[in-house]
Parts: sequence; structure tokens; C-alpha cells
Amino acid sequence: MLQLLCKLASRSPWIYRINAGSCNGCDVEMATTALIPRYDVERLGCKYCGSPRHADVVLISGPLTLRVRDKVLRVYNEIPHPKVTVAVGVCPVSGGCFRDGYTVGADIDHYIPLDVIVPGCPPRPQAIMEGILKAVEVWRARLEESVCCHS
Amino acid sequence: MLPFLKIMLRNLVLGPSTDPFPFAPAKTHENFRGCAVHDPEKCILCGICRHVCAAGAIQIRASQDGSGMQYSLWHNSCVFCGMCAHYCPTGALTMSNNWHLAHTGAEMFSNCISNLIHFGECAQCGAKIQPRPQAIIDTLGVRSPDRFLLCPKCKRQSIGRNVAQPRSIHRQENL
Amino acid sequence: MTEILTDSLQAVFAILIFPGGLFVLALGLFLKGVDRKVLARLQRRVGPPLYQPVLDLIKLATKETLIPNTANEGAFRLAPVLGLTGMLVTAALMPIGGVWSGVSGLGDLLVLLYLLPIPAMGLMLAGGSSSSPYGALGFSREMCMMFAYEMPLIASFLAVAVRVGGSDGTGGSLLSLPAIMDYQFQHGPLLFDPVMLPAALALILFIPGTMGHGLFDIPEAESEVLEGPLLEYSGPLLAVFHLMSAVKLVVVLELGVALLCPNPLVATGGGGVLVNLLWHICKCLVLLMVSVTCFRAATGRLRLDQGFSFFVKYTSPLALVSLGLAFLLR
Repeated sequence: MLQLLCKLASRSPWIYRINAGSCNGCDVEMATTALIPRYDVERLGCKYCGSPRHADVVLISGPLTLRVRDKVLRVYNEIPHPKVTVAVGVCPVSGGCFRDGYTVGADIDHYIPLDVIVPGCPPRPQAIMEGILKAVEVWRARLEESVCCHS
Repeated sequence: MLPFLKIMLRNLVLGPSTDPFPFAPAKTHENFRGCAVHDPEKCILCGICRHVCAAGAIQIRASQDGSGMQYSLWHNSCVFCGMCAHYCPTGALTMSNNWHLAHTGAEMFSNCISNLIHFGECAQCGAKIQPRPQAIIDTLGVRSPDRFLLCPKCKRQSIGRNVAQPRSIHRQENL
Repeated sequence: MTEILTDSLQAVFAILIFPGGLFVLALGLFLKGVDRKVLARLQRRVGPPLYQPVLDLIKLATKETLIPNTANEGAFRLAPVLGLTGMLVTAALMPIGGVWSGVSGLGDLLVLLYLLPIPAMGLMLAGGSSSSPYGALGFSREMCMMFAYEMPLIASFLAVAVRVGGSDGTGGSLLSLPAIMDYQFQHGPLLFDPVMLPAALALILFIPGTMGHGLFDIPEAESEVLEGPLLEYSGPLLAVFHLMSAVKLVVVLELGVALLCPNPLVATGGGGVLVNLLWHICKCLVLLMVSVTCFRAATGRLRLDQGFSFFVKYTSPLALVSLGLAFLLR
């Protein structure tokens, strides 16, 4: 019964975007998944929400510049558990072509655990959707785990 | 008046234009620039790919046992610009149209190309030189197939011998 | 004594099961699902499944509830519950043509006028107590919009009352919903009454205004004020807000149906009740399509001052035209 509930719950992943100093390429692709009928991420139950408090899946783009680092961490901590982090693009993981820049604090992995990584510069919308589906699997496993621990 | 009504009606009639992607394979153009593919059989360790890589995704390091070089390309740093494939003299690096690269965070560092490329041997003295696979000899080494397989030292000696010989032969060889 | 007991039992039944309570919750979630699906189709998307709102609720129930340190915890927790209970009570008062004529003596437009802003009050309390600047912004926007859309509502209520009351020649006005329904059963729906047409239009524009859709998605604008009053809510409390908005959707649609076209399809009694109920739901769906789904598919958000002046400049005069005509023709 609880397993079924977990399965149902994981079919409504609400997405929150964090731009950690991205060049906007990945953000455009993320918006594309929701806004362009061809990709229609809402079909999977996803919804881009404005408030971090409503989010389940966090999409992070950008190489975590030093200026936004503290703000990103603050927003990330506002998101209620259980949450899943998806790194969109190569910047959050390695810094991409901004690597070793004087303003770049990559990689994000030192600050935030990355659950799913979608490499690309930017990744195509379908790849982002694939990443979201992977994130949903991670999230479901996490939900089931927490339910088992509670009962 | 109210043109959006017409648009909405048309949209209803035409039905959704959504790709069935997560449930069926997505259409990918054959020229789509996806992840890079490295063919260790063709690589001559020239390092031009590492030189032109904007994102610093390519590393070429000596292997532990000294028998060759460890070639690695980290997809999580690659920005798919395709410069490496463009400059690769032997066609060892190519860009495939594979974009299914999403992976879990645990696989972060294993999501890379990692190939051990053995050194070649000088045809005369047996010293370690860049690898000389047959495919490369056929393309780059056609001018002077013998000298192509030598180490720099033996190559200098062979050139010296050539210079010492009569000019006509030298010219012929240079053609 | 027994009469009071049966009356109160009936009221409890009305609030908890039908036509309030469970029925309204189920209908509200269904309507929300239909709304999202049809909206997606209007934009040539596939859209989420019809039961997506239920999945969302289940999901929200599994989430953690975070309450800001600086928030007033009591008010923060009270706000969604206040809104939901207020709406459930209102839903119990809404008559359904040929099925349910409302709780006797309570189905009054004045009562509705007091009950309808309760969800907005809940949202305002939520925005105010969450101690977030965006919440405060949402609070002020919600209040501003409330003043704007209450005007045409009051004017169209008055127009309906004058029209209905004027029909019997006494020149009075009738504010009781059952009486308004009776009038329409005898004289045909007010929707087809040329005098009431402007007021009907005003009422149709009031629905997206109060639900915050399309042009009037101002208090909960997610890209401007990060969903305003709901910003700090998470988990079960947010689920209660979602239920509240589902019930509110049903209430305003039922209000529109009751005022515009409450006529049953077949005579009451026997299987007629079921047919009439389905007919009522169909009418709600049509009103939903016109005033919410198509409206928000075709329009984008206005600025706060534009939204306010839209109601003042265009919607209120429409209702006032009806009111004036009803006065002249009574």
C-alpha cells in the first residue's frame, strides 16, 4: 500500500530551477521542455514552480560563481525533503569552459550532492527529460526508503 | 476579431504535436553533435585534441607501467564543440550523435572515455615512439614510409645519410 | 427538538458529504484535471493525465512541512484550514438545479457575499504570516484584486436580485438563491434574458478574477512574486491550499450556474436526480471551459494596476448596465 503511494507520489515531480551563474543556455533548454508543445514535460506530471518550497526536483545550471554561491546554498536549503538534484549541463559538475576561472567555484558537488547529471552544453531538451526521469527514479527509491524507515 | 479563438480551435482539431519521446526513441539528426568517440587504434598521441579543447576535457598522461599513455576524455567537462574531431589528423576522435548521457551522480567520474594507448617501437633501435598504427602509415606515412617508423634520433641519422648522398637522389626522394 | 436534530444532521451531511464535502472535493479535483488537460490540448500539448491533481495531493502529503522561523506559526497553520473550511461551508449552500435547493434560509446572496472572500482572506493571512517579502507582496496584490472583483460581483448580484424581485410586480428585490432559481424555472434562465446579458458577462469575467487565472494571475504570479502568498508553504499545508482552490473553483462555477442557468434537464424524482446532477456537472464544465480554460489559454498576466482598472473600467459598468436596465424594466 505504502509502496503504491510512493509510486503515485513520484508521478508528480515539481521542478525548480536554480541558475548558479549559468550562461542561460541551459535555462533556455529547460524552459523549452515546458513551453514547447513538442517536448511537453507536463505530460510526466512535472510543473515548474516559482517557489523553492514547492519543489521536488531541483535543476541546477551554471558553474556556481562565487557571487551566487551562498545564495544558491540558501535557496537549496529552503527546499523540503525528499529532494533530488539534477545538474543540467557540464558546468555544475566540472565548470565546463569556465573551469579554473577566477570567479568560478565549481564544482557544485563539494556543496550540494548531485543525484543526476545531464551533460551537454547545453543538453538537448530530450536529454533533460531523460535526466528528469532518472531523477524521478532516484526520488522514488528515496521515498520508499523513508517510508520503510518510518513504518 | 479575436484571432486567438481560431488558433485555439485549430489547435484542438489538429491535436497534440508532442513527440512521444520518453516512451519512444526520439528523432535525432545524423549530424547531431553528441558525445565524442575515441578510437585507440587510430590515435597517435599527437595531443592536438588536448591543445584545442576549450573545456579542458582531454587529458593524456603517462600510464603507470610506462608502456603507453592513458588517454581520457571526461564527458562531464566536454562542451561538444567538436574542435578535437576537426583537428584530429587521423580521425581517431569523432563526434557521434549519441546524446543519452544522463547518469547518476555516483557515475560522475566514470562517465568518460579512458583508453590506454601503447607506444610504438622504432623500427631500427626499438626505442619508444608515438604509436604508428597501419591505418596511419597508409595516410600520413606515404611520403617516406621507412622514415615514418623511426624514432627522432634514427630519423635524424637517416636524414643525415640522405643529405650526404648525391643531390639528385635527395631531390627524387623529396618529390 | 427532533426537528432541530434532523436539521442539524442534514446540515452536517450537506457540509461533509453532499453537496459540500466529499462531493465538492472530488468534483473540484476532476475539474482541475480537466482544466489542465484541455489547456494542454489548446496549446497542442498532450498534457498531464486527468487524475494529476490527485497525484499532486498524494505527493504533497509525503513532503516535509517547513515553517519559517520568523513566521507566526499559529496563523501560518490556520490560514489554509480557514480557507478550506470556509469554502466547504459555502459549497454546502450552493443549490443544484433539480437536485438540491440549498440549506433552507441560508442560501442568500448576502451570505455568499460574505463567504466568497474567505479563501482570499486565507491567502492574505498566509501571505501576511509567512514573514516573507514576497508573501507580503502577494498579500497586498490579493487584497487589491479582491476589492476590484468584488465590485462587479455585488453589482451583478444586485442586478439579479432586482430583476427577480421586480418580476412579481411588487418592485422589491429577492436575494435568496432558491427564489432566484424558482424564478428561472418559471421564466427561463437568466443567461438568455437580454437585460441580464451584461451582468452574465461580468460574472463570467469575475470567475477567472477570483481564481487568479489568465489576465488576473496577479496575486500568485509565479515568475514575479514566486507564487506570492503560497511562497513559504510546503507539504500537507500546501495540499490544503490546493484543495481549497479546487473547492473554490467548484463554488464559483456552481454560483455562476445557479445565477445564469440552473434549470434541470428532466423533472425531479427517481432517476431524474442523477440525470440532473450530471447535467449540472456538464454546465459547470462548460462554464469552466469558457471562463477559465479558454480564458487563460488566450490571455497573459496583466500588471496589478491594469488588472484593477480592468474590473473598474469594463466589468463593473457591464454589471451596472444590467442593474440599471433591471430597475427601469421592473
